[in-house]
Amino acid sequence: MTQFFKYIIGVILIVLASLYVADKVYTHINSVYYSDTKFQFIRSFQDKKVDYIFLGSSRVENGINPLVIDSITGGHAVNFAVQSSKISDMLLILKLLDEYNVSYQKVFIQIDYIYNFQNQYSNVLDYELIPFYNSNKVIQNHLDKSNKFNSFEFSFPFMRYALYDQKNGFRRLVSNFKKSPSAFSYNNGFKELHGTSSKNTHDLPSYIIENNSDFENLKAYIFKNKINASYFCSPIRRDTKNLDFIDKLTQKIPDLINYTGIIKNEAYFIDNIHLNEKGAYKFSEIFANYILNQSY
Amino acid sequence: MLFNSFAFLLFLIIVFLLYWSVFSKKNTYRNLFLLIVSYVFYGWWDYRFLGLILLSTVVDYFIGRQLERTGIKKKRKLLFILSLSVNLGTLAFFKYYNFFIESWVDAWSILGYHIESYTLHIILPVGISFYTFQTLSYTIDIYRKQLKPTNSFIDFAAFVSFFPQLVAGPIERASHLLPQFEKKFKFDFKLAKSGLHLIIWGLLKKVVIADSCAIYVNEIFKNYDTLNTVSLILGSVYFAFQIYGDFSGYSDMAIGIARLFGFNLKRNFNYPYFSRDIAEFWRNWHISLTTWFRDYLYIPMGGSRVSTIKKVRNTFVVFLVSGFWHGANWTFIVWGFLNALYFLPLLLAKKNRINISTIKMLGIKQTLSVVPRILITFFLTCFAWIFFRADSVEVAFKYISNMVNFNFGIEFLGHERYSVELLLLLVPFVLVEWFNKLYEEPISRNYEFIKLSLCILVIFMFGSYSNPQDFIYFQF
Repeated sequence: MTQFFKYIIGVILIVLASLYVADKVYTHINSVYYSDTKFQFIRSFQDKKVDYIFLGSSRVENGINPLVIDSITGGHAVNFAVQSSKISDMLLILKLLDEYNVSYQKVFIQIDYIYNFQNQYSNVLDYELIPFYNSNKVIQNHLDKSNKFNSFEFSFPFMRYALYDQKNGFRRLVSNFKKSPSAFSYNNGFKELHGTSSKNTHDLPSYIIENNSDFENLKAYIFKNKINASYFCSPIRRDTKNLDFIDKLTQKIPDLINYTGIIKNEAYFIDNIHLNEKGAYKFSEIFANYILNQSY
Repeated sequence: MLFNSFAFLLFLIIVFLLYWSVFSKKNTYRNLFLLIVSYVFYGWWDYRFLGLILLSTVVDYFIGRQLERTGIKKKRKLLFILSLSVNLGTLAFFKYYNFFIESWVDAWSILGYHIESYTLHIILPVGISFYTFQTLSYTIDIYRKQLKPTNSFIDFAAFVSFFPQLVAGPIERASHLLPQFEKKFKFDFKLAKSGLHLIIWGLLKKVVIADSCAIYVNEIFKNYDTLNTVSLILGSVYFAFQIYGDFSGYSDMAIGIARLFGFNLKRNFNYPYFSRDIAEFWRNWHISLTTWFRDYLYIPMGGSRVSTIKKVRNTFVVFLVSGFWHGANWTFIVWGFLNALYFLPLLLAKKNRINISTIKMLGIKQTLSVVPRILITFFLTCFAWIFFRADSVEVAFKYISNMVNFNFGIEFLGHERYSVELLLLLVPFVLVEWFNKLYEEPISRNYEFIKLSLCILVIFMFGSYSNPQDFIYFQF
């Protein structure tokens, strides 16, 4: 029996040591190859300077084309919006920009129906952050707070790659090696959508919550760090249910730049809340002109 | 409690430590302990069905004893029929009741009559087909006077519910496993080590091969009407690897776990995809079920010592029943029928036993003659697996029709960036199995410490954990 236990312990030690090495290798590859995820795209701006930053969910990622903004304003804009982002994700990105020493003039933050979500996080961003769990405290605190993970598991070498293999495991590693750049990497963070459809994929909520603690935290962070920030809301097709939600939202955020009704042509939408590539072009033009007029 | 779960790992460690440190000293305590932990293991899924195992155990234990005591033919026959009725009746109700009702209603509706359907919402108890066949073999062997019944109810109950092989086999014969419950064991380092190697190799097959293939198989079979020929061929090949990795992986783990407790279970798979013809495939695939049907169905019907027509009949009966054993769906019956068709030319040409010995390492010339036969057998099997995997016979035919229309213009799964990564896993796996086909698993022998560590590392690094899949054979 003792011989058996010695055999098992020996194997466990070898495996642990190998997993430790594998963890380092995976993390290194994830750190070196930037272009594959939105987070890595954001991270690649470390120590860089930009003029305008856009934050939000897919409605911004697919709706603001920074190249159009650049051509009109002559500045340098980037789209750091991440699919299914909530307010806490935007706060996280602001903290990370600080951590990565990214300097910028102005940040535009989209707030729409996500105002009703508290203590919720983007599925996409969270998984993209996992490889960088040990790289800084901001990410560590964010993932520890997220109810999707048991951060205890992350304290074992390689576990965060094994348990979330579909997002961060072997296949991801190979795709990183292949280094197929994602569309947003050559569009400054913009990901275009094609086509048009009459589908109503999302209704707006019929009510607005009294107070959002995540939003309060975001405001407090912006105030404390003297960030030049504005809130806005991207276009929404006019046949969307409960459009009056936006009126309720403007009561909560009086300085919200309300662009919900700025594009009326249905051909510019891929569904009721997302613009297609033509809509994004049009909206980006409108936004660029607004920036020019405001002369930040 | 799945073998590839953290809960099972904890369960196994606790049971293993208690078994060897406290209970192994006396057989009665040891077997009682194994019985209790086996019931806990099964009850983890659904404690309500523990009663069914207990019923099967009690009935077969007492019938076995009565069969031994009485010499009256008529009474023996009655007892035997009673055992068959209880075991097969329970199986028929839980597994086949709705199928029979629906088929009955469908049959009348074809003739233009509408009959009210009385289907029930029945949950299929995990492993019912496995433990039913195991207990049946006990009664049949006693009835045939090939086995003496055990005097110990605890030994028998532990044999029926032995947790490593309770829910998905291998289906053990009482003549092989039951005497082991009567033997006294001492901890055997070599046996335990070989058990550990089997567990790890089986786990690798399950989480690295089967579960990775499952991601693609599920997508391909769900979207078969929009995918092109190559993708659909890949779907059936990936499923072949999925079911092999899943089921042979489970069997390896079951055999390995049993060895940790000093028990030897029979081998259930012997590299079936390296078979040179379909007869060899069936000698190497799910061996415990194939031999069960051979001994308790094929041979009693006359086996191969009858006229050619009867031999053909017997073959078809065995394959159809074997298909039906897998599940209450026409897809399994067609799958069985297809395998019988594959088998038929070999049977008629009396060539079904020409490839008995395992393929040895060959020279280039011999390899060139063997590999095409292996590939033909493999692709025939893949084709039959389409019926096994499809939700209905209609879907299977549509899948095949899309596959053979050689439409390359529509969506090709190979463009998916992950497809290459799957091939990166499958090719080394096939090579490792090919170069170790003379052995039970590839870890034992030289450099086993390094090979074991490497396999565990592979399990962590290449396993699929985001979408854990149940073992396919649990549904049977």
